[in-house]
Amino acid sequence: MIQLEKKSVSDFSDVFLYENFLPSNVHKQIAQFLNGIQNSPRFNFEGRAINVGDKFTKLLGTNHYRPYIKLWDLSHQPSYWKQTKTTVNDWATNTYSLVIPPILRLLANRLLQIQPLTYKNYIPIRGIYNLLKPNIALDPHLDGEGFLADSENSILYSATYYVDVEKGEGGEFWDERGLLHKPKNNSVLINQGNVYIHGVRKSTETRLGVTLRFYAIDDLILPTISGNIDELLYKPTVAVQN
Amino acid sequence: MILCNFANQNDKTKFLSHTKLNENSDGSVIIPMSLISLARSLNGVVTQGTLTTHQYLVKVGHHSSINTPNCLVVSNHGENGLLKANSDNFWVVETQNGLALFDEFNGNVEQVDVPVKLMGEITTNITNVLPEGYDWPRRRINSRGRPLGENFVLANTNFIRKPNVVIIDSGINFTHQELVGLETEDLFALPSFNGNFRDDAGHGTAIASMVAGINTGLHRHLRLLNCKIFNSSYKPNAIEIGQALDSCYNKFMEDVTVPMVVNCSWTVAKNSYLEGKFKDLTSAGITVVCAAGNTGVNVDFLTPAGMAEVITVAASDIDDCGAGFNNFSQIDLAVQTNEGLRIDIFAPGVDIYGAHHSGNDMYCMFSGSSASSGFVTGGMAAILALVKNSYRETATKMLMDYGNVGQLLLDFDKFTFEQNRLLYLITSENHLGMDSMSYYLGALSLDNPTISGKTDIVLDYQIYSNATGEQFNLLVEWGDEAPQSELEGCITLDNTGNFVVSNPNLSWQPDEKIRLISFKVKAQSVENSITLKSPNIIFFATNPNVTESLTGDIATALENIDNQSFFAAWVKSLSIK
Repeated sequence: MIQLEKKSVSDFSDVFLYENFLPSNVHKQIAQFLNGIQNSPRFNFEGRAINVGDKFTKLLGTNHYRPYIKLWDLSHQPSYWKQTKTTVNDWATNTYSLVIPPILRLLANRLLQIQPLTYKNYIPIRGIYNLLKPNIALDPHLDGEGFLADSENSILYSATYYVDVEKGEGGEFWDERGLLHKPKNNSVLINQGNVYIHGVRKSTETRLGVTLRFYAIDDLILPTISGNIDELLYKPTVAVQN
Repeated sequence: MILCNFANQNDKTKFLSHTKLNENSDGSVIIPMSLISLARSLNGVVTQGTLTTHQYLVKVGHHSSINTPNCLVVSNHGENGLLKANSDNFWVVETQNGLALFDEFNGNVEQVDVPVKLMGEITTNITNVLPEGYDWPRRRINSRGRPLGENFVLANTNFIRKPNVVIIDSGINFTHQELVGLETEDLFALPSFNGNFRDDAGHGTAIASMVAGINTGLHRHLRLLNCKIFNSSYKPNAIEIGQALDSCYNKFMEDVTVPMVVNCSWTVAKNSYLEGKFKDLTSAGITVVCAAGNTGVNVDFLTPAGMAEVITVAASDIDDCGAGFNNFSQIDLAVQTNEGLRIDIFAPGVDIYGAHHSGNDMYCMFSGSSASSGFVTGGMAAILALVKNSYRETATKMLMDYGNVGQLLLDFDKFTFEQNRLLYLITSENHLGMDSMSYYLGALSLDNPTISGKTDIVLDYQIYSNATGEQFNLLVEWGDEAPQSELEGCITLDNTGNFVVSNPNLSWQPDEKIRLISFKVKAQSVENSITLKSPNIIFFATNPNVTESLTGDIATALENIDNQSFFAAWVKSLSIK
């Protein structure tokens, strides 16, 4: 097992940490929202489907121990795929209110005012309810979907807002370069989610947060030039199921 | 007319900001009797303005103790001038000097002429065609989160009774196409309306359509009762409103086994006589739902919105933000639980389409907490129709427990976290938005002979059970991938929703290695009042006669997950042929 030198956020210019990020009443309301949905079944279409024989099945979710609840994904709106780089910004702004709960919209808007999300024109493409039960780690992974942007030539910023993470031992965020960070409540950590493998260590207590993934509009692979879906640049190779 | 003058400008500003009253050109403020105490607490000097004869209600044991000069008991009301409300005696008296009366009885005096405000107004868009997207309020009330379900879908239900729903308002046009088919009754109209129960003001019909409209309302298994106290030119006084409330009480007493909800989408300045009347209703077991109001003022100065005994409803908009016009409660800001609140719950109340009184096929866009109140009345009626032994207290608790918590963005200076609760309809088909999808459990194999799962991942019957106290039986409903006889016994399901799946004894085709099997869990209440059904739950069964590893076959099936089938999914959703 390789033991990496432990480094802190301040050792990296591409990792951003903001503590005491939101007013306490906003923090409390985000906590209330996330706690309120813990026990509810959720619309959680992951954009995935199975083809078996003649059956086409869209997946609502999978039986993972970590409840991966997708709070929204702008690319799951059919109209996303009609957008061009000149229209997607306005489209996203109009779509936020349909799919993003307002308290998280407030969080997203606040995030868009801070570095590094001021460098380019970003949109919060996906929101993820981030609940880790005790003694469950978030395994090493890279963020991102290949069909949304070129992962090798673009940066996806993942901003995790920590709601209730201070109790218990463990629960540190880590990345492959040796970054090890024990988050505090009401803080935000923004990392390059598709560049460095990262994960979260087991904690002795439940750990609750919300992660927003931001793509720069310039980096999005939008399949049409004019917004006309007959001019798809990308042709799906599978037959359309009826 | 009672006037108030403030020597200190700060005091006046504070008073005006609290009450939203306007000052006169000479700097004085005309105030209702209910605000005399507040004005004095802010060092206001209160005086009786022009001496004009008005009627008042004096809360006192006997009229003989009323000594104000030139004060007469008006004996043509009640029993020789005596009106009762919640065990208190109110005497109807006439005097030119209301302030002297007020001071003589330490504030136990109410005005008969109360400024009544309807809490919704038609904003625009009178039409005979409901526009696209008009249905968002019902879809919001039917959804646990965002994005909202695409349609307003209700669960399979067996209602046990039809509650009486009384709309105390400007009358109802029962012939409107939204209300056709309902059981209806004209319960009460002010005598001055000469038996005309119909709506010429465009408020009551709209509210009724939000309760029970075919396309605009929430719940139709009810009796809709019309209690008309307004028309386009007349607003009632406190005695008349009291008569309307008495008619509700008397109707309820005819058969107390039929629960009743009373909707009041209006407010008056705080009035202890009317509050006594409302307490008569609530203590009898009648649910009162009312609008919080739309002027940004403190409901603690209003009746019935400022009463803890009623369900007071504020408005939210299509974005789940609290409406800027909502009234609030200063008292609630200190309450740390969701019980005893003045403002109890939110419901959609901005840009709502409802029935318009101008024609049986006409609609209008409507805004205000009046609409929100109508929706909550519909939601409450659904509980009373569905859940055995539910009456005011129990049904109110269910309404609160079943609500969507924490989903609204509220003004933190006016509302507390305990008030962040949005109406959720108890009869909602709760996997709305998920029914075209399947929850994937995994694949069975020699190494993985069983899969465990929990139903509440996709079915919230336990939330229903906790809210209503109803027990549920859980049943498995198989898909069509194999004959039922081959699937029997491969799932054990306990009544807490835990299940274990083992490989079914299937008849396998030659060369068939894996098969996708689907099932649903049906949660049927013991009382058979409601059946909730999960979306499809799927797993791979594997052919036990195949000795080679099937990991690759399963992986191939799952590989389709990520890219191509995703595009197939969205291309399909765009209806490209």
